[in-house]
Amino acid sequence: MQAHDKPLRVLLVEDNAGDARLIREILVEARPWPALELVHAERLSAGLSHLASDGVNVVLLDLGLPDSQGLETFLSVHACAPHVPVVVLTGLNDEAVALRALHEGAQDYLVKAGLESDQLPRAVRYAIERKQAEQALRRTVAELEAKTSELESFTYSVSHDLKEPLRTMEAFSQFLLEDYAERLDEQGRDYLERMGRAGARLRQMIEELLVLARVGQRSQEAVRVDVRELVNNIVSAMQVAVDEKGLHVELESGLPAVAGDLYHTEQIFGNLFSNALKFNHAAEPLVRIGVRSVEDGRATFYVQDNGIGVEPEYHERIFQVFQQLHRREEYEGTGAGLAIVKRAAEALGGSVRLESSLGAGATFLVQLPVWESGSAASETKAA
Amino acid sequence: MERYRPVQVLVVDDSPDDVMIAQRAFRASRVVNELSIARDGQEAIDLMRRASNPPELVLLDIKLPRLSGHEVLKQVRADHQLAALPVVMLSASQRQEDIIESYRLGANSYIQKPVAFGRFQEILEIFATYWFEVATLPE
Repeated sequence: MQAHDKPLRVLLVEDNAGDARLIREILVEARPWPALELVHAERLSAGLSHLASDGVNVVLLDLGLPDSQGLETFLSVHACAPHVPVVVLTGLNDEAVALRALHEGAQDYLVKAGLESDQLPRAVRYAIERKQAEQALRRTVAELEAKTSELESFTYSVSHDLKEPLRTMEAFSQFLLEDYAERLDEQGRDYLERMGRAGARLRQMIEELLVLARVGQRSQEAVRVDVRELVNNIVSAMQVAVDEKGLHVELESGLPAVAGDLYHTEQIFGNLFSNALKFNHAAEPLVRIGVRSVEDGRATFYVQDNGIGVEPEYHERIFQVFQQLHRREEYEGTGAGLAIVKRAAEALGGSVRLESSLGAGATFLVQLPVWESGSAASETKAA
Repeated sequence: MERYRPVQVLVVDDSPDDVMIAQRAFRASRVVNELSIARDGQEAIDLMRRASNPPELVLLDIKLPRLSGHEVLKQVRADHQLAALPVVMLSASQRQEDIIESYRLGANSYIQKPVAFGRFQEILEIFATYWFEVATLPE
């Protein structure tokens, strides 16, 4: 908020002497602030130098000046002092330009011809307050982003450090088993084996937390990722398990390439494919991968199986880390896979959701930005 | 496989647990003649310079008291007598900076501290075979 003891400094950039006089009279009479100081410039160049040196709180800007015309006038002022709110003054025929200025970051516009005495002070006051709110919001967003990224690297380093004592525990319980197993009775050996399994499980959870922390970091520059090739590689990497299960894989031809990076895309399709393989007891197990639609530069891929499916009430929960719907001995794993998928999709500016009911198989829908040569990189960044 | 030639190995590690794990791996392996242990960087340098039976292979941690593993490596490579000594970094660090710096300073290899003990023994045998059966080192 504007401190009340400090005068409000208004920069008026207006080349028409009559308009300038009118505006000054309105502002002086209305006194939107206890103390108000009006700085007047007739040319853009003079306005910019006031803006650079003086502590201007708000700009009233005529777009048609001797040394600058139209939207350019606003863009120059905004570039020079992006934190200072600008109210654009315009003639009757220029509203279209004024609207574009609003779109580019102006706080408000006023048509000079119909200027009423209370309109101008109100516009000035609101412009300042809106700009302050906007900046506060921007700061909050920046702080949140910094905190999130800090949290990711915290998760990463903590998970990494946790591996060290775990490694020691695992080694010595293994030594115990190797050297003293005969001196233990059956129950003693059972205890040791339980410790070993818990240790292995802890290690897997730590490894997955490390992956989760890494996929949370947004990728820098989007590159073209060929989904068909990627899925083929994933299937070959799991070929043994695929053959063992007798899984039939159908991969649609003509999948669009996505704008992202290999690591994130691999995490998405790799985890979805391995789930489709794991949670499937059908007589003829099947996975279909393809694209359902492409719209507005985004493709919706599907990974569909005829496996055990998921009841609708659990559709949210399964995307949380370490959430499992089954008893531990039924399926391997810790329940981090879908959390990794979700984070990876979000990091690429996409999303994932599930269509499924119990016993009817599951269809995961992944929406990702499509690679369009040239424009894709900047689109992903903005997303 | 050929019979291994017994090798003098120096392990530089400040964690007593890791030292015990290393000792067990050496006992189980067929390659080690004698294992010396240094618990910090300075002790490692002193051992390498003074030992009547100097080490032929060094497994070097990075995070060490007194001299860091990187400091030790720098001194080894600058020392005329020790310059060709095979040095394998054995660290828990996954940081790229640590890995790159190790190679820049002349490490022969960088191994992440393995989680599984069996893997430790395997790594040891691979290195001994490579350095003392395959590679040629100065006399």
